[in-house]
Amino acid sequence: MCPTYTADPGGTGGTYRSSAGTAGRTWNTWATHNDSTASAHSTSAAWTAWSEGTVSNATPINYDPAYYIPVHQTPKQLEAAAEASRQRKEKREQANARAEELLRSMLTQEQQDQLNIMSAFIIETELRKYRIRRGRSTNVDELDGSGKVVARLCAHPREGVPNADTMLAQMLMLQTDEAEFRRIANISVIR
Amino acid sequence: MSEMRVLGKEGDTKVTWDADNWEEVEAAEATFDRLTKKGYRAFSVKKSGDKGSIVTKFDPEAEKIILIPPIVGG
Repeated sequence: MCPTYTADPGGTGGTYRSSAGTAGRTWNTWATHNDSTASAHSTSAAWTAWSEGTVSNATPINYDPAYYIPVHQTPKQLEAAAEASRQRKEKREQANARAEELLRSMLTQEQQDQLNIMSAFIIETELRKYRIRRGRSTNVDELDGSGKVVARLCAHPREGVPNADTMLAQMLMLQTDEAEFRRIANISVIR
Repeated sequence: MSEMRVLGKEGDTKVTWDADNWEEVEAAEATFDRLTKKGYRAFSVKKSGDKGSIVTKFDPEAEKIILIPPIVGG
């Protein structure tokens, strides 16, 4: 339940009062860590207040306007926000699809089959065998001759690229400059 | 037609060029130089499964170049 907020007429521009019922007052306290004396409280006190519902009737709340998130938006604003969210999702899906296509274009049929079955594929360098699992971090396994995981490596592009692009980058690095990849990666040896 | 795929946050960006078209070659080379200066690594690749090779200088005759952002430990 979202409380309504009105500016405190006598306030200094950064103070609001809740006009909602108990749920809203409890939420206010939890969200702002304030009590009826408008003093900042520790997180645990705020949690206690929230869980026990022990909040006074009119709780002054100090908000830093820079962090204030309006809880009531006009239908037009809500619609625009929903549309923006839909577009972001669509962009993400397109990026993931492009990355998947590029990765698969660089894999052998065997590796593509591995990817389909176990969401991972195996590559062999001159010295070692690796399994690259879907993901971004700690997704590279070093395997021994019997296929057992002997170490986990974590290294990925600095930018937050789609996971399939991360896997491609890891494969290219391991195939062409394994030593450098291992120098950069955080390596956890499995005992 | 040759292509360069630059991995990025919103998926990869594709840059294509015809080796006989010097304007396209220049534009592709400018992109290559700009990104490699920022730490991107470039790999020249061919068919699927073939091991790529690191390239530090733009090759207009390359079939496909993939540029990856700097790699960091996680």
